[in-house]
Amino acid sequence: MGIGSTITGVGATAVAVASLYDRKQKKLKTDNLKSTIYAGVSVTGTAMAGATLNHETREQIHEKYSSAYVESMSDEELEQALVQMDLLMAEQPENTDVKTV
Amino acid sequence: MNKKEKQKKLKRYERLGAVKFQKVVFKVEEIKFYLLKKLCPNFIAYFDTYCDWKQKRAIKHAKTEEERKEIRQKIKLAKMAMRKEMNQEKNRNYHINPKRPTEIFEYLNWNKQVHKRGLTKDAICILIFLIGTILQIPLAAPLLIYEIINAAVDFECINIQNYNLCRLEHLKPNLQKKEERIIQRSIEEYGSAAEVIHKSIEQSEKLPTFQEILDNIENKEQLEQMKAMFQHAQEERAKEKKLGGI
Repeated sequence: MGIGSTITGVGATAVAVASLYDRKQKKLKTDNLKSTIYAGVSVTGTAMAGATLNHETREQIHEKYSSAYVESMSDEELEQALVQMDLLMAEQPENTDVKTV
Repeated sequence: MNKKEKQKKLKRYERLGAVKFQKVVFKVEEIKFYLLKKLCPNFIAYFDTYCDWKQKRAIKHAKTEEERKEIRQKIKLAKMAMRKEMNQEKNRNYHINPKRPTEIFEYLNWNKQVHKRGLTKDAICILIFLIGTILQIPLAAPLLIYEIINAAVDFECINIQNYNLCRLEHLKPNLQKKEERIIQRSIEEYGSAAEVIHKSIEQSEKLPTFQEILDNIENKEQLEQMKAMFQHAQEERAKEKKLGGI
Protein backbone atom coordinates (compact mmCIF):
# COMPACT_ATOMS: atom_id res chain seq x y z
CA MET A 1 0.00 0.00 0.00
CA GLY A 2 2.25 2.83 1.24
CA ILE A 3 5.42 0.98 0.13
CA GLY A 4 5.33 2.23 -3.45
CA SER A 5 4.82 5.82 -2.42
CA THR A 6 7.58 5.55 0.24
CA ILE A 7 10.08 4.19 -2.29
CA THR A 8 9.12 6.89 -4.79
CA GLY A 9 9.50 9.63 -2.18
CA VAL A 10 12.86 8.34 -0.89
CA GLY A 11 14.09 7.83 -4.46
CA ALA A 12 13.11 11.37 -5.45
CA THR A 13 14.89 12.76 -2.38
CA ALA A 14 18.03 10.74 -3.23
CA VAL A 15 18.01 12.06 -6.81
CA ALA A 16 17.57 15.63 -5.58
CA VAL A 17 20.47 15.25 -3.11
CA ALA A 18 22.62 13.57 -5.78
CA SER A 19 22.04 16.57 -8.09
CA LEU A 20 23.88 18.70 -5.49
CA TYR A 21 27.10 16.64 -6.01
CA ASP A 22 29.87 18.73 -7.50
CA ARG A 23 32.07 16.53 -9.72
CA LYS A 24 34.96 18.95 -9.89
CA GLN A 25 35.22 19.42 -6.15
CA LYS A 26 34.10 15.81 -5.55
CA LYS A 27 31.76 16.74 -2.72
CA LEU A 28 28.16 17.75 -2.05
CA LYS A 29 27.30 21.44 -2.28
CA THR A 30 26.02 22.19 1.20
CA ASP A 31 24.30 25.50 0.33
CA ASN A 32 20.94 23.99 -0.48
CA LEU A 33 21.47 20.56 1.09
CA LYS A 34 19.22 21.11 4.12
CA SER A 35 16.31 22.60 2.14
CA THR A 36 16.60 19.80 -0.45
CA ILE A 37 16.42 17.11 2.25
CA TYR A 38 13.48 18.84 4.00
CA ALA A 39 11.62 19.12 0.68
CA GLY A 40 12.27 15.45 -0.06
CA VAL A 41 11.06 14.32 3.36
CA SER A 42 7.88 16.45 2.98
CA VAL A 43 7.14 14.93 -0.42
CA THR A 44 7.71 11.41 0.91
CA GLY A 45 5.50 12.08 3.94
CA THR A 46 2.68 13.49 1.79
CA ALA A 47 2.85 10.53 -0.60
CA MET A 48 2.70 8.06 2.30
CA ALA A 49 -0.23 9.88 3.91
CA GLY A 50 -2.08 9.89 0.60
CA ALA A 51 -1.48 6.19 0.11
CA THR A 52 -2.67 5.49 3.68
CA LEU A 53 -5.89 7.47 3.10
CA ASN A 54 -6.51 5.61 -0.19
CA HIS A 55 -6.02 2.30 1.62
CA GLU A 56 -8.58 3.25 4.31
CA THR A 57 -11.06 4.35 1.67
CA ARG A 58 -10.65 1.00 -0.14
CA GLU A 59 -11.40 -0.84 3.10
CA GLN A 60 -14.47 1.30 3.66
CA ILE A 61 -15.66 0.50 0.14
CA HIS A 62 -15.14 -3.24 0.75
CA GLU A 63 -17.15 -2.88 3.99
CA LYS A 64 -19.97 -0.96 2.28
CA TYR A 65 -20.49 -3.51 -0.49
CA SER A 66 -20.10 -6.56 1.73
CA SER A 67 -22.60 -5.13 4.24
CA ALA A 68 -25.05 -4.40 1.45
CA TYR A 69 -24.70 -7.97 0.18
CA VAL A 70 -25.21 -9.58 3.59
CA GLU A 71 -28.17 -7.29 4.38
CA SER A 72 -29.76 -8.21 1.04
CA MET A 73 -29.89 -11.90 1.93
CA SER A 74 -33.07 -13.40 3.31
CA ASP A 75 -33.02 -15.18 6.70
CA GLU A 76 -33.09 -18.54 4.89
CA GLU A 77 -30.21 -17.57 2.58
CA LEU A 78 -28.20 -16.40 5.60
CA GLU A 79 -28.85 -19.70 7.39
CA GLN A 80 -27.94 -21.70 4.27
CA ALA A 81 -24.73 -19.69 3.84
CA LEU A 82 -23.72 -20.48 7.42
CA VAL A 83 -24.35 -24.19 6.83
CA GLN A 84 -22.22 -24.07 3.65
CA MET A 85 -19.42 -22.36 5.54
CA ASP A 86 -19.60 -24.93 8.36
CA LEU A 87 -19.29 -27.72 5.81
CA LEU A 88 -16.34 -26.02 4.15
CA MET A 89 -14.64 -25.49 7.52
CA ALA A 90 -15.17 -29.15 8.41
CA GLU A 91 -13.39 -30.10 5.17
CA GLN A 92 -10.41 -27.94 6.07
CA PRO A 93 -7.41 -29.90 7.33
CA GLU A 94 -6.03 -28.69 10.68
CA ASN A 95 -3.21 -26.08 10.81
CA THR A 96 -3.32 -24.91 7.28
CA ASP A 97 -4.03 -21.61 5.59
CA VAL A 98 -4.86 -23.19 2.26
CA LYS A 99 -8.47 -23.92 1.36
CA THR A 100 -8.96 -27.40 -0.01
CA VAL A 101 -11.88 -28.17 -2.27
CA MET B 1 -32.49 25.24 17.21
CA ASN B 2 -32.70 25.33 21.02
CA LYS B 3 -34.64 22.83 23.16
CA LYS B 4 -37.70 25.08 23.61
CA GLU B 5 -38.05 25.76 19.86
CA LYS B 6 -37.59 22.07 19.13
CA GLN B 7 -40.31 21.08 21.63
CA LYS B 8 -42.64 23.70 20.14
CA LYS B 9 -42.08 22.34 16.61
CA LEU B 10 -42.52 18.72 17.71
CA LYS B 11 -45.81 19.59 19.45
CA ARG B 12 -47.02 21.33 16.29
CA TYR B 13 -46.18 18.31 14.12
CA GLU B 14 -47.91 16.02 16.63
CA ARG B 15 -51.03 18.24 16.63
CA LEU B 16 -51.07 17.96 12.82
CA GLY B 17 -51.17 14.18 13.21
CA ALA B 18 -47.54 13.03 12.75
CA VAL B 19 -47.55 10.25 15.35
CA LYS B 20 -51.02 8.92 14.42
CA PHE B 21 -50.36 9.04 10.67
CA GLN B 22 -47.02 7.28 11.15
CA LYS B 23 -48.96 4.29 12.52
CA VAL B 24 -51.10 4.35 9.37
CA VAL B 25 -47.94 4.46 7.24
CA PHE B 26 -46.51 1.37 8.99
CA LYS B 27 -49.79 -0.49 8.54
CA VAL B 28 -49.90 0.42 4.83
CA GLU B 29 -46.27 -0.73 4.53
CA GLU B 30 -47.22 -4.10 6.06
CA ILE B 31 -50.13 -4.49 3.61
CA LYS B 32 -47.98 -3.36 0.67
CA PHE B 33 -45.32 -6.04 1.25
CA TYR B 34 -47.96 -8.70 1.90
CA LEU B 35 -49.77 -7.91 -1.37
CA LEU B 36 -46.55 -7.51 -3.35
CA LYS B 37 -45.28 -10.92 -2.27
CA LYS B 38 -48.64 -12.55 -2.87
CA LEU B 39 -49.53 -10.94 -6.21
CA CYS B 40 -46.03 -10.50 -7.62
CA PRO B 41 -43.74 -13.18 -6.19
CA ASN B 42 -41.24 -12.49 -9.02
CA PHE B 43 -41.00 -8.80 -8.19
CA ILE B 44 -37.24 -9.00 -7.62
CA ALA B 45 -36.72 -10.55 -11.08
CA TYR B 46 -38.78 -7.73 -12.67
CA PHE B 47 -36.87 -5.14 -10.68
CA ASP B 48 -33.55 -6.64 -11.80
CA THR B 49 -34.70 -6.48 -15.45
CA TYR B 50 -35.68 -2.83 -14.97
CA CYS B 51 -32.26 -2.10 -13.38
CA ASP B 52 -30.46 -3.83 -16.26
CA TRP B 53 -32.40 -1.69 -18.75
CA LYS B 54 -31.51 1.47 -16.78
CA GLN B 55 -27.87 0.39 -16.67
CA LYS B 56 -27.74 -0.22 -20.43
CA ARG B 57 -29.23 3.23 -21.09
CA ALA B 58 -26.87 5.00 -18.66
CA ILE B 59 -23.76 3.20 -19.97
CA LYS B 60 -24.58 4.36 -23.53
CA HIS B 61 -24.12 7.96 -22.38
CA ALA B 62 -21.04 7.27 -20.22
CA LYS B 63 -17.82 8.72 -21.62
CA THR B 64 -15.12 6.93 -19.60
CA GLU B 65 -14.58 3.40 -18.27
CA GLU B 66 -14.54 4.91 -14.77
CA GLU B 67 -18.07 6.28 -15.29
CA ARG B 68 -19.27 2.93 -16.66
CA LYS B 69 -17.80 1.11 -13.66
CA GLU B 70 -19.53 3.55 -11.28
CA ILE B 71 -22.88 3.00 -13.03
CA ARG B 72 -22.53 -0.81 -12.76
CA GLN B 73 -21.67 -0.56 -9.05
CA LYS B 74 -24.60 1.80 -8.35
CA ILE B 75 -27.02 -0.56 -10.07
CA LYS B 76 -25.72 -3.50 -8.04
CA LEU B 77 -26.19 -1.49 -4.83
CA ALA B 78 -29.75 -0.63 -5.92
CA LYS B 79 -30.52 -4.32 -6.54
CA MET B 80 -29.14 -5.28 -3.12
CA ALA B 81 -31.09 -2.47 -1.41
CA MET B 82 -34.36 -3.65 -3.01
CA ARG B 83 -33.68 -7.26 -1.98
CA LYS B 84 -33.10 -6.03 1.57
CA GLU B 85 -36.43 -4.14 1.56
CA MET B 86 -38.36 -7.12 0.22
CA ASN B 87 -36.69 -9.69 2.51
CA GLN B 88 -36.94 -7.63 5.67
CA GLU B 89 -40.26 -5.99 4.67
CA LYS B 90 -38.94 -2.59 5.73
CA ASN B 91 -39.09 0.49 3.54
CA ARG B 92 -35.72 2.23 3.75
CA ASN B 93 -37.49 5.60 4.19
CA TYR B 94 -39.21 4.53 7.41
CA HIS B 95 -36.57 2.49 9.24
CA ILE B 96 -33.15 3.42 10.57
CA ASN B 97 -30.30 1.13 9.51
CA PRO B 98 -28.62 0.33 12.86
CA LYS B 99 -25.25 0.02 11.12
CA ARG B 100 -25.57 3.26 9.14
CA PRO B 101 -28.02 5.41 11.14
CA THR B 102 -27.14 8.68 9.39
CA GLU B 103 -28.47 7.28 6.08
CA ILE B 104 -32.00 8.00 7.33
CA PHE B 105 -31.50 11.77 6.97
CA GLU B 106 -30.87 11.38 3.25
CA TYR B 107 -33.96 9.19 2.84
CA LEU B 108 -36.18 11.47 4.98
CA ASN B 109 -35.16 14.54 2.96
CA TRP B 110 -35.57 12.70 -0.34
CA ASN B 111 -39.00 11.42 0.67
CA LYS B 112 -40.01 14.92 1.80
CA GLN B 113 -39.06 16.36 -1.61
CA VAL B 114 -41.09 13.65 -3.38
CA HIS B 115 -44.20 14.52 -1.35
CA LYS B 116 -43.58 18.28 -1.74
CA ARG B 117 -43.61 17.84 -5.53
CA GLY B 118 -46.71 15.66 -5.14
CA LEU B 119 -48.44 18.34 -3.07
CA THR B 120 -47.68 20.97 -5.72
CA LYS B 121 -49.14 18.73 -8.41
CA ASP B 122 -52.19 18.00 -6.22
CA ALA B 123 -52.79 21.73 -5.66
CA ILE B 124 -52.82 22.36 -9.43
CA CYS B 125 -55.12 19.38 -10.05
CA ILE B 126 -57.50 20.49 -7.26
CA LEU B 127 -57.78 23.90 -8.89
CA ILE B 128 -58.45 22.37 -12.34
CA PHE B 129 -61.02 19.86 -11.08
CA LEU B 130 -62.70 22.49 -8.89
CA ILE B 131 -63.25 24.61 -11.98
CA GLY B 132 -64.40 21.46 -13.79
CA THR B 133 -66.85 20.67 -11.00
CA ILE B 134 -68.27 24.20 -11.06
CA LEU B 135 -68.66 23.94 -14.83
CA GLN B 136 -70.32 20.53 -14.29
CA ILE B 137 -67.78 18.67 -16.46
CA PRO B 138 -68.32 14.87 -16.10
CA LEU B 139 -66.01 13.06 -13.67
CA ALA B 140 -64.58 16.37 -12.37
CA ALA B 141 -66.23 15.94 -8.97
CA PRO B 142 -64.89 12.43 -8.15
CA LEU B 143 -61.46 13.43 -9.46
CA LEU B 144 -61.56 16.50 -7.23
CA ILE B 145 -62.28 14.31 -4.19
CA TYR B 146 -59.46 11.94 -5.23
CA GLU B 147 -57.00 14.83 -5.50
CA ILE B 148 -58.07 16.29 -2.14
CA ILE B 149 -57.36 12.90 -0.50
CA ASN B 150 -54.01 12.75 -2.33
CA ALA B 151 -53.13 16.22 -1.08
CA ALA B 152 -54.03 15.29 2.51
CA VAL B 153 -51.78 12.19 2.29
CA ASP B 154 -48.89 14.20 0.80
CA PHE B 155 -49.30 16.86 3.47
CA GLU B 156 -49.25 14.28 6.27
CA CYS B 157 -46.20 12.55 4.76
CA ILE B 158 -44.32 15.87 4.72
CA ASN B 159 -45.46 16.46 8.30
CA ILE B 160 -44.08 13.05 9.37
CA GLN B 161 -40.72 13.71 7.68
CA ASN B 162 -40.51 17.12 9.38
CA TYR B 163 -41.37 15.50 12.71
CA ASN B 164 -38.71 12.81 12.35
CA LEU B 165 -36.07 15.22 11.04
CA CYS B 166 -36.74 17.56 13.95
CA ARG B 167 -36.61 14.66 16.43
CA LEU B 168 -33.37 13.19 15.05
CA GLU B 169 -31.44 16.31 14.05
CA HIS B 170 -29.81 16.93 17.44
CA LEU B 171 -28.77 13.24 17.54
CA LYS B 172 -26.92 13.50 14.21
CA PRO B 173 -23.39 14.06 15.65
CA ASN B 174 -23.79 11.09 18.04
CA LEU B 175 -25.22 8.93 15.27
CA GLN B 176 -22.27 9.91 13.05
CA LYS B 177 -19.76 8.86 15.74
CA LYS B 178 -21.67 5.64 16.39
CA GLU B 179 -21.67 4.84 12.66
CA GLU B 180 -17.93 5.49 12.36
CA ARG B 181 -17.25 3.23 15.35
CA ILE B 182 -19.41 0.41 13.98
CA ILE B 183 -17.85 0.61 10.51
CA GLN B 184 -14.32 0.75 11.92
CA ARG B 185 -15.00 -2.30 14.10
CA SER B 186 -16.49 -4.10 11.10
CA ILE B 187 -13.38 -3.32 9.03
CA GLU B 188 -11.09 -4.59 11.82
CA GLU B 189 -13.05 -7.80 12.43
CA TYR B 190 -14.16 -8.75 8.92
CA GLY B 191 -11.87 -6.79 6.58
CA SER B 192 -10.48 -9.78 4.64
CA ALA B 193 -13.90 -11.38 4.21
CA ALA B 194 -15.37 -8.05 3.10
CA GLU B 195 -12.69 -7.77 0.42
CA VAL B 196 -13.61 -11.24 -0.94
CA ILE B 197 -17.30 -10.32 -1.13
CA HIS B 198 -16.63 -6.94 -2.77
CA LYS B 199 -14.28 -8.46 -5.35
CA SER B 200 -16.88 -11.13 -6.15
CA ILE B 201 -19.51 -8.41 -6.67
CA GLU B 202 -17.13 -6.44 -8.92
CA GLN B 203 -16.18 -9.45 -11.01
CA SER B 204 -19.72 -10.71 -11.51
CA GLU B 205 -21.97 -9.38 -14.29
CA LYS B 206 -25.08 -9.77 -12.10
CA LEU B 207 -25.00 -10.18 -8.31
CA PRO B 208 -22.86 -13.19 -7.35
CA THR B 209 -24.38 -16.24 -5.71
CA PHE B 210 -23.00 -17.18 -2.31
CA GLN B 211 -21.31 -20.23 -3.84
CA GLU B 212 -19.42 -17.89 -6.22
CA ILE B 213 -18.25 -15.88 -3.21
CA LEU B 214 -17.14 -19.07 -1.41
CA ASP B 215 -15.17 -20.08 -4.50
CA ASN B 216 -13.18 -16.83 -4.20
CA ILE B 217 -12.09 -17.51 -0.62
CA GLU B 218 -8.34 -18.11 -0.55
CA ASN B 219 -7.54 -18.98 3.05
CA LYS B 220 -8.94 -20.08 6.41
CA GLU B 221 -8.78 -16.56 7.90
CA GLN B 222 -11.15 -15.23 5.23
CA LEU B 223 -13.54 -18.14 5.78
CA GLU B 224 -13.53 -17.68 9.57
CA GLN B 225 -14.09 -13.94 9.24
CA MET B 226 -16.92 -14.49 6.77
CA LYS B 227 -18.63 -16.95 9.11
CA ALA B 228 -18.27 -14.52 12.01
CA MET B 229 -19.68 -11.70 9.82
CA PHE B 230 -22.72 -13.73 8.84
CA GLN B 231 -23.33 -14.91 12.41
CA HIS B 232 -23.15 -11.33 13.63
CA ALA B 233 -25.62 -10.26 10.92
CA GLN B 234 -28.02 -13.03 12.01
CA GLU B 235 -27.83 -11.92 15.66
CA GLU B 236 -28.38 -8.26 14.74
CA ARG B 237 -31.44 -9.18 12.69
CA ALA B 238 -32.96 -11.07 15.61
CA LYS B 239 -32.51 -7.91 17.75
CA GLU B 240 -33.91 -5.61 15.02
CA LYS B 241 -37.08 -7.66 14.69
CA LYS B 242 -37.99 -6.61 18.20
CA LEU B 243 -37.69 -2.90 17.29
CA GLY B 244 -40.19 -0.96 15.20
CA GLY B 245 -39.67 1.94 12.79
CA ILE B 246 -37.92 5.29 13.22
